[in-house]
Amino acid sequence: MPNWPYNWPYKGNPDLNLVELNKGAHYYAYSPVLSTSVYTEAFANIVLPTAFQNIPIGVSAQYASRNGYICLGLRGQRPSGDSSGVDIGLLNTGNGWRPFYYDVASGEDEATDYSEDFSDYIASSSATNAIIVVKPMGATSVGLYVRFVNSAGTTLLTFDQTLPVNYRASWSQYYRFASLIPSLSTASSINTDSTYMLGGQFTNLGLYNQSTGVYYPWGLYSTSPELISDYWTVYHPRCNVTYTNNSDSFTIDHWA
Amino acid sequence: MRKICVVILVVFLLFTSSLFPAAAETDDPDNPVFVGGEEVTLSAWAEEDARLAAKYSLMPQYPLLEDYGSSSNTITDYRQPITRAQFVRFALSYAAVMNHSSQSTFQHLVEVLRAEKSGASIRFPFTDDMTSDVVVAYTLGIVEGRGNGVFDPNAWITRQEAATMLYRTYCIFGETEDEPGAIRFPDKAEIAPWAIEAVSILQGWSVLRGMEDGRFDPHGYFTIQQCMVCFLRLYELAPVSWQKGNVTPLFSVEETVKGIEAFSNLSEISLRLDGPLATFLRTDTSGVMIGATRYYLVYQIGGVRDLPEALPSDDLGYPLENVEFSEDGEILTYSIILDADKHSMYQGQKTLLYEQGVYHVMIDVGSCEMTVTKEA
Repeated sequence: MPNWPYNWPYKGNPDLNLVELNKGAHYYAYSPVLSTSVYTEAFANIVLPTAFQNIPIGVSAQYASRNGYICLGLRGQRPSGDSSGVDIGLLNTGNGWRPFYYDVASGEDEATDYSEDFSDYIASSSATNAIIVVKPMGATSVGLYVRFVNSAGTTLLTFDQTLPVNYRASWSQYYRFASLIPSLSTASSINTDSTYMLGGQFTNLGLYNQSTGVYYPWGLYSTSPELISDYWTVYHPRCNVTYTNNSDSFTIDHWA
Repeated sequence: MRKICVVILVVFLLFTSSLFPAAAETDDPDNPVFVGGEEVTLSAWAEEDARLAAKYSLMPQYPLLEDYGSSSNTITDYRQPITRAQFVRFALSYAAVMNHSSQSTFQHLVEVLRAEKSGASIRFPFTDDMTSDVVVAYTLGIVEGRGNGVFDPNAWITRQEAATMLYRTYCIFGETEDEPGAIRFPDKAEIAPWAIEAVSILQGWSVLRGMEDGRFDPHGYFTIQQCMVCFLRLYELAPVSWQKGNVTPLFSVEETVKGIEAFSNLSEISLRLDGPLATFLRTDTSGVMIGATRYYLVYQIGGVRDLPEALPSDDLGYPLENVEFSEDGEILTYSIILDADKHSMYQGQKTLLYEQGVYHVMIDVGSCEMTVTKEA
């Protein structure tokens, strides 16, 4: 990978797109290609960030506010042969975390974009965690379950829907990411605008194996089986990730 | 047991060549038919119609699946019986063509504009089918459930059931003034009362022509290739057809624009230009990991077509300059000015996409044919 910035932590063979360099500090982790009829769902207990600042500070007004994402995802094969993903998880535009999904159509396939920001399901500020399950439901739909809980473990809000997406001949990978993206791609963006998302974690990460009935740890370097093949950060150390066998702790901090 | 039944039935259907004249059951290896990139197997009598159906965009957009609950096994042998879920894919292709629209955009419009009106939920009304295609077909009135939230997607369709579903699909666009005539099939007494109107009218239009022995065979199973041919005939022979120019579009221009706007609360219409024949729209979705720009032509006569990006981008599309229609509205032109070379990167390999410069784009509004030239 001649153009990969080696000073940024990565594993495997990251698929860095130049576009990502305009999306602020973030990280991605991908499973290897696997059978989603064996690994039927991805699970995480997300610890919501303890500090979230999405409005730029101390910079000119031309810099847009940012959208925070803590997401899982599913990647599958489109009819053109391209593989493309559906981002499924949580979005925060400044007024709280809520379910979200986004399936961008591939340019070569006649398709439409499916996406929704479920603003009727915004978690209150007392929410500390989000239990999330993502699963393929067929060629044109995915399942998203989100349960927001407070520090006492009390359920505050539950979201459980099957969501329409573009056709996939097959689903083949799970992934996750956390990011803090300029809300207007056309606006200028810099990674020193004093926005941040701190204290977030993916915990209890697991891929459910239907054959064995077991959730296998889905940490960045978990083994037996190895369920992450590619991991990369962008703009390290403004995005910094620490990990265990089944959890990631991440900070995104665009300090000035 | 079911597998045995499938084999027996397929063999039966192969040798009875129902509905159509007897002909050799061989494929033409020099001129294959593809659906969604996969070659399909047809009886010889159906091949020419398949090519015509493909030409009219009446074929499903994607390969048919054996079971839409598990996405991997495709069906390419069109001589097999058709399931309810597979029928839906043909019906929606026909409906999109009748609405002069790109299929995926048409379906999405139905989802956002018709669901509320029809009382159907945009999410999934059936417990045994989680595909948006079936929801759209249900919303349009093409299919009904079996009751208790069951759709029964993998059930085969009898020929009399197919007649009613074909007719319902047609009626989305044109209620017929034809009175049901006398059914001429010798086994008409076997046709269920609920299917008589549809069979009568479709027979009157020569959409249904009966078996080789003249019977309708209402309880026999409909095959995939029969379904394909019947939708082709419906398109060519029924009184209302886009081809004949007498379809009342499902959605007005303003409804279509409103629907496109409602596709996502993450996207917005960033450009609208009204012309004599069509309205040009650009939508942008930003604030996400991979932004997206889409272009549409919404026609005054009804329908909507997706337009490709003149210079495909990995994220939001490039800004457009000097967007205008010709005086007669038949040509849309715009320019894209790149002030620097544009690159893409895949797995660390950086490649040049477009050199800096001025690109002129010309689109034929009727055909959507696009030409892009770089200024010298």
